[in-house]
Amino acid sequence: MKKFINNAANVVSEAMRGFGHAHRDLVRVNEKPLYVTRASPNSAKVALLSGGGSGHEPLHAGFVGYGMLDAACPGQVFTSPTPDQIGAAAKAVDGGRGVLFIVKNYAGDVMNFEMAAESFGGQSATVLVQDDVGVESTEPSRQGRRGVAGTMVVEKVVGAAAESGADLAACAALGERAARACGSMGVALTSCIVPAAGKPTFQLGEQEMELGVGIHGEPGRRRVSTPPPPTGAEAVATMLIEAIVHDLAPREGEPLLLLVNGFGGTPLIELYLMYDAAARRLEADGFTVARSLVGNYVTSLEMAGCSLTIARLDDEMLRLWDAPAHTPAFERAGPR
Amino acid sequence: MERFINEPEAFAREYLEGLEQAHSEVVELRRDPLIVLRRDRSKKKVALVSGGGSGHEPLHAGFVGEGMLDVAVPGEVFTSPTPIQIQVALREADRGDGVLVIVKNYAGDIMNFEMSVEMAAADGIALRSVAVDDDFASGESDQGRRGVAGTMLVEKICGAAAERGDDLDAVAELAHRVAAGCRSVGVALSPCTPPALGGKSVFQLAPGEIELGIGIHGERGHHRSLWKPTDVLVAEMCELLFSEASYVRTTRDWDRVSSTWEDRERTTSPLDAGTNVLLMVNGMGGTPNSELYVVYRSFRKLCEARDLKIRRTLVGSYVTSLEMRGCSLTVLPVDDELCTLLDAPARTADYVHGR
Repeated sequence: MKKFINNAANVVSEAMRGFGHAHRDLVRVNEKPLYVTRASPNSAKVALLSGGGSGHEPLHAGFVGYGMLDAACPGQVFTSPTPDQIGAAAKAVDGGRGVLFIVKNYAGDVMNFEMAAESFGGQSATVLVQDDVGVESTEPSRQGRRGVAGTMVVEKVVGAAAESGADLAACAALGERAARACGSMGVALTSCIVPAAGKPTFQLGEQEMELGVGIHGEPGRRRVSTPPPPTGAEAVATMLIEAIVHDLAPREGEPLLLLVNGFGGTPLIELYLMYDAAARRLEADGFTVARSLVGNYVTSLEMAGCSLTIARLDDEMLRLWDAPAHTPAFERAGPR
Repeated sequence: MERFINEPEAFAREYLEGLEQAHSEVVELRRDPLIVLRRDRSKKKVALVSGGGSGHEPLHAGFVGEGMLDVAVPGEVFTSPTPIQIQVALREADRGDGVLVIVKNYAGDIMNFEMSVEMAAADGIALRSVAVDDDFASGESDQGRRGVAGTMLVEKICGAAAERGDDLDAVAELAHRVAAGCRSVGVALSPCTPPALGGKSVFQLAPGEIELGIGIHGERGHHRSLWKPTDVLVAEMCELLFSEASYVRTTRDWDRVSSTWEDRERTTSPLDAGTNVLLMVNGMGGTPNSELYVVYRSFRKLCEARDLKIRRTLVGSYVTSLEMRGCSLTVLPVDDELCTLLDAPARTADYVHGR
């Protein structure tokens, strides 16, 4: 396993120490328990707190800063943060207007955030993100869908609303709306390797892709052969777009955000190629790509692959998407 | 091949089409010949043009926009752009205040850019040029050292200077100063595979093997070894980075008075204790950011142990090598002026900075 690590046990704490120093103008890293807050906190607003297993960087710590999160709680790789971590972070950032927890829909995360919310004592609300259409909604599942790249959209949109003074109930309602507005689907070209495991999470043949893969390497809808040239990327983009559109049912002409999200091991040049194919496909079908984002935002360690997210943005969400943000991993120009 | 691609021949062009569509408010793509222009060209200022083979994204096209480049000239993957492309780029870029040309130091790039500069100068465009040669792991040769991640810093700093209204000579002198200051060293954990090679990697690494001092096209590095913990690896990279107290070589710049190439001596000064520096950890394309931060943690400790004062930090994938897994370290001495220019706003497709 060739990675830039010292030993598998310390990978999260060492990465967070590097992260904290590299972005010392924007964030503070609290080591025990581990959480990240803004270098210049604002206690006059609703505090946004998110977290989850590490390995999805820059989510969540990279989005702590003006216009997005107030705090992030990184767990061990692909492991939920503890209720203690979350509770301590909530106390640190609550300025009296309450804390909104943004949680990806995984059993462990949901449980630990619930426990933290109960013991925290302050006012809080929770938004559950479950945008992954990789597992079809007709399949019976008590757990519901996984939360993936749409989480970043929710953090951006609600972050902007909180910054402009929205109260806890309004932030929670907006968060629900934004979460429901997102549909995502991923495809893996290779597996990731969890440092503590030291071997690939799953096996893929040379010419195989996992369609609908989760951000922890969970199985998707099906394995398919890599489509042949000259239209391989187009064929993959079409499969993802069709699945999302089928599920999300956007209306023709309504403004859509198209997010092409790398899983960590795919270079930017390929993400733009996928964006090109996806945007063309959407526009050929009469949809309007009003906003775009291309990059690595919600990753799965060094997995090669990407996900597409479509978000149906109403006027308010469009405005909030365009609002300034100053975080380590997402900068949107504009006054603080 | 495990990648998102249609046809290998269309790879670079389709990337640019995606870039334009995703960032249509920032960039404009011209197709024949292929160049990427800043959308808003209304401001009178010195123009910055850079380019080179594709496969290093976001460099250069992703850095076109306010505060950085005016025009980027992308070649095919790992292949220099043609003189015709570059000449059109220089003509389109010039707004009457002259053009600074930023080139990475590779024989093909230097040849095509120099030819284009001569022809554009004959057309009356005021030009200066800078070759970036920051790769401290590449040994001495006739060609000198390779240009790698430091190129992004030259583009950022000089872009900010041009934006605030510095004239051509001032921006060019700044470019030479930054290029002289940059020291970089890379390492590969896995090779990259240019699409046109039909699935063949540019070099082979055995399982468990890494290559120290790798170039951004997979050029041979300093040496190979087995994988080692990052603290140990970064210490070895820093030995290369700091091995030479100073480094003197001759580079060329266009003298627009005499219309000839002028040799100039470039000196990378020693990094004495107490020097203010920028540290950059640059991903090669296939390495996740969490690992880059583990590298930065080691890099920072080693630099602080040498009593370097870390004034600015940059961690991310800026000058890549397709899907290569690996990273490079760069150190650049900075003063207040360079910090101001580094902090100035940039609004490009892939680098947004400041208010």
